Amino acid sequence: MKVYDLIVVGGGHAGIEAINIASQFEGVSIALVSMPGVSLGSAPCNPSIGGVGKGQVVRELDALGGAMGILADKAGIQFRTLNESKGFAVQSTRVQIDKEQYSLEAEKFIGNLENVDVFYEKVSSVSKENGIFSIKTTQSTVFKSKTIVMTVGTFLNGKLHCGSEQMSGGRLDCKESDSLKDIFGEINTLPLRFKTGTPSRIYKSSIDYSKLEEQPSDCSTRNFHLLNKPFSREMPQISCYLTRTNAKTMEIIRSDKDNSPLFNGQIKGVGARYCPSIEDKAYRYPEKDIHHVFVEPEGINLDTVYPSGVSSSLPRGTQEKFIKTIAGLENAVIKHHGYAVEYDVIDTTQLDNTLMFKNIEGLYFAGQVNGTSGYEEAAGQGFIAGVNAVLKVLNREKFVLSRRDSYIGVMIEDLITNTRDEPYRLFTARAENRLFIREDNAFLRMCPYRDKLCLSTNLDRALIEIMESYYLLKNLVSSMKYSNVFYVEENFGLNEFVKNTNGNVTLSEILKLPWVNPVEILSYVLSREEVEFNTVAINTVAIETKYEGYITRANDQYAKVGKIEDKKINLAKILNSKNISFECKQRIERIKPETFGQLRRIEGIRAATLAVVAGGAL
Amino acid sequence: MYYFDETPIIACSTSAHGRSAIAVIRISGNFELEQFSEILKFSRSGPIEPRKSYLIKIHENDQLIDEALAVFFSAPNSYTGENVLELSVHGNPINVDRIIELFISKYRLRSANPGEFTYRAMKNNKLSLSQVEGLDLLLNASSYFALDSGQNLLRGDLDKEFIQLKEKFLTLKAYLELNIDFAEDIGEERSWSLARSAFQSFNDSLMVLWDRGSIEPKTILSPKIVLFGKANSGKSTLFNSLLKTERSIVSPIAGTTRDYISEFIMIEGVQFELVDTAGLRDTEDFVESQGIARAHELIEKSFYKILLQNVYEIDFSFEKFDADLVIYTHLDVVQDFNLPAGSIGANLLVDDVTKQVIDKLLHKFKDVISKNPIVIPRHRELINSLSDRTTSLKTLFDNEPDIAILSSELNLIEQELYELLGQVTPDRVLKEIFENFCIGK
Repeated sequence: MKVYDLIVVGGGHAGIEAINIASQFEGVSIALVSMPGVSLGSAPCNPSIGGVGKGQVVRELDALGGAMGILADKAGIQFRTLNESKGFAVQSTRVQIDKEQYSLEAEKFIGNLENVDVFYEKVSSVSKENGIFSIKTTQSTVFKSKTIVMTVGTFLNGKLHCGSEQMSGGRLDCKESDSLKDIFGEINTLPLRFKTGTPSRIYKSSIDYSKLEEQPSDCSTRNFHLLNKPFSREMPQISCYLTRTNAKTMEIIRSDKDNSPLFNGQIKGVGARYCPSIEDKAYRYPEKDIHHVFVEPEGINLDTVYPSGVSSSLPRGTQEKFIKTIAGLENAVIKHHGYAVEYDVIDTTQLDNTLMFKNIEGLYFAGQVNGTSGYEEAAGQGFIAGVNAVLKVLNREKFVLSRRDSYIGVMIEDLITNTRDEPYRLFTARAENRLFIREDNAFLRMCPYRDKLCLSTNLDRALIEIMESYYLLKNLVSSMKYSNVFYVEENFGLNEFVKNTNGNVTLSEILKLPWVNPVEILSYVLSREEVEFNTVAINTVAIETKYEGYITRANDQYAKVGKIEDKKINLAKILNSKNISFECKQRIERIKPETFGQLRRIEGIRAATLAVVAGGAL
Repeated sequence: MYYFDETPIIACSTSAHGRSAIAVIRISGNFELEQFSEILKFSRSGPIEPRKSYLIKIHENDQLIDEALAVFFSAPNSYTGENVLELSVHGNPINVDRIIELFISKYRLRSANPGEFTYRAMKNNKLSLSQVEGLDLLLNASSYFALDSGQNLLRGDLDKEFIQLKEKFLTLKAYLELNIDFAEDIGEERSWSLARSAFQSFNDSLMVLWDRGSIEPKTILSPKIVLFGKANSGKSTLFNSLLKTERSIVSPIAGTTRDYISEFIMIEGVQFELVDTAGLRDTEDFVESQGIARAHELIEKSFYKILLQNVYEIDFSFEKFDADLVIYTHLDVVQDFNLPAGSIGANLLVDDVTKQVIDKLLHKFKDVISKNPIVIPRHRELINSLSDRTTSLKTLFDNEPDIAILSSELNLIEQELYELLGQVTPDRVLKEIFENFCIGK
């Protein structure tokens, strides 16, 4: 019987990335075992890829050789740059996708990988003997492999709720997986279950668009994939729309609180505070009636839209009633009703920094089963688990991203240093080094990591080119005297400034001026000088120059902290301290950190706690 | 040098100089009472309860060397948060030294470093940094005001205000993060207006503290009254008259060489240093003289500046000193002199004038104190620096804001805030604070 090097269980966003990166290593044999009846790379929630903090992950993946950026570009039907007016460091790309097309592209993509076999079967048990895993399916097929990546999403012991209706399932019209206990006797899931939810889907044709605010696609938003032309689009572009709830909407929801599974005790799982259902919004913020509802198309040919912001597990009748109070949705016809899903998650503190289960060598977990939410978070983990599984088979050094230079690194470290008490989502606020880990320089940050994999694909060749371009341009910008580019002053209102410097100022000093748009100026100068540079490199050099001082300062601060990273801490003293909050102590007690660095990395530890400990360790 | 151990330390808490009837020896650290049983003989048998006083005998090699009162404090309910034993022994320094030496040689206790008891109290969170600063102020106070300020700090009153400031800061920080990560959910406009109003609220609180910190603390903690004016304007007369009316006291500050005459007087519980600049190049060309710089400094740093003008030869060059009170003397010479508002006229410096001077002086002092000034230099420095940073943050807010830069600036403010709260205490701060303590406090 064939023994695969790697078997990935689950063909969602995590699974796709795991398979994709693994397949780039020559001579590795891979199988995907995915739930029958579920399309690959499906989008059961928001039909979009990217977003604040998440767009950065997609670009990191893309520069590492990931699949998500490629697929999103192919299926993108509305592109936007979020936080466009707020400074480059926090700008993120979000792409609405045609979810049907996305799955088609994903299936095509995986199908084209030569060393990957795909099976649609439901896994019933996994066991390990003599270093080899055996995966049994309900059809009694047995697969064998050296490593496994489990990306089972919300399917573990999944249970759906819609009003008082309850059914088993991983999502609408999909069967659930057995509980992990049944599949894997030795692994405990967290005692608490997680919950997520989704809104009803509404027929496009039943919406009065004249009452909605249109948000068209932005043609100046760059594609995710580095090798794509930056602004070309594969799909026709369509708009999203904005509407709002009102007092009537909220009153209907509030008056049916008793029938809300979330609030009448039917659902015990913990949902994410940052992704509240409309019931949460109604009951927790009784004084607020107006909430945004984004009407997002699910696809060009699909007949439904996704009303983002009103996810609900209220009874069907109530959902219909409140939806119809929203401007533009008065005559809305619901195709599928919203529902909540409860599922098991594993305790990620049992994973190491490659997402391998510490007690079972070769077994990896990635994606929503780890208690995260979001396709991008899942994809990031899938990549890390997949690449490390293969590196393990090949007996090579493990692949770990630092939280200093990537959002994926931030996420993995957050996951493994603490037990989740609510679904985890990436925010830019989770990253200490936000001015440096930006979308525009993902290639720069990821290139050294990609190099370590020693692969040779089109991407690797492109990365070399962009890096060369970047270094060249960086030199140029710091040495080029501004007097040589006098024409800029006519165009960007820099007359006064230039006069005062007597022309003795470099281009880089100009780019640092707070009131200039560095990308605009640098692009203009280069075009006037008729020198061609890769536009990705131009963006990065311009933005990096602008933030240089701030980044250096942040790094200096970090260096100071870094010194005490390895300092041993007195756990008993910390747990007895009056200056440390109860929640912090609880978290500290669970993880039992030994050094200041480990303490610092526990999620939810407040800066004040660190300060107290650092103060005491002086 | 500070140790990070819990070795029992020992020191005498009363003044090392001079004799007194009783001296208190304090031992703090990781010890059990029983271990001293060879030296300390309790007069009553049975368990020793904390916080109760016991009569004990102190033995050296079975020879009685002193009788004392002992109080045991059990950790963490003690000043330092460790086990503490206090022995009230007879106060002769030789006796005290012998007992301390006995503990050190027999039980390897360590002699406490200056301020080490308080240092341990802080490390064990018995006192915050501001409370330690308050204690310092309290123990070195030379006026009721300074005593009160010290007590307030020790009670943690100012801490509470700093904590409120920090909470407002955290709101601001949270709203900025909200603006970055959740602007779509909240709405662009609303998230900015939340951030702006949070900034305003933080800034307002900070400005209140800044106002309170804008008074130079030296001028009120050891306030000087300075008399200046031309020769023969009546400075010495007023000086002597004030000394006569008020209680003159011996200066606690050891003899510095002085080129001016000064005495300490106590007025309503406040110790003032009264300075007559007569000795300070009191010549015709005073303003141009070599003593200018010195005189300037002296006058400017004084709490209360009294300018004496001989109406017969008024010197307007003194007006630049912005005197708190002007006294016009020799009014008998110029008959129709119009006294400017607020000033005092005097023919002869009699008790009545002195009383007026003191009234005005106290009025100002009470007025200043009623503003609840912040007197710890470290606090004032940090508040000043915070207010500078906040001002530049405001500029960033007002111009087209790059929110990533805003939040990076916010991180710097955060660091200083925690420093203000004493939660991040760089070495130098600790060093400075604890060096002000004598052994045993």
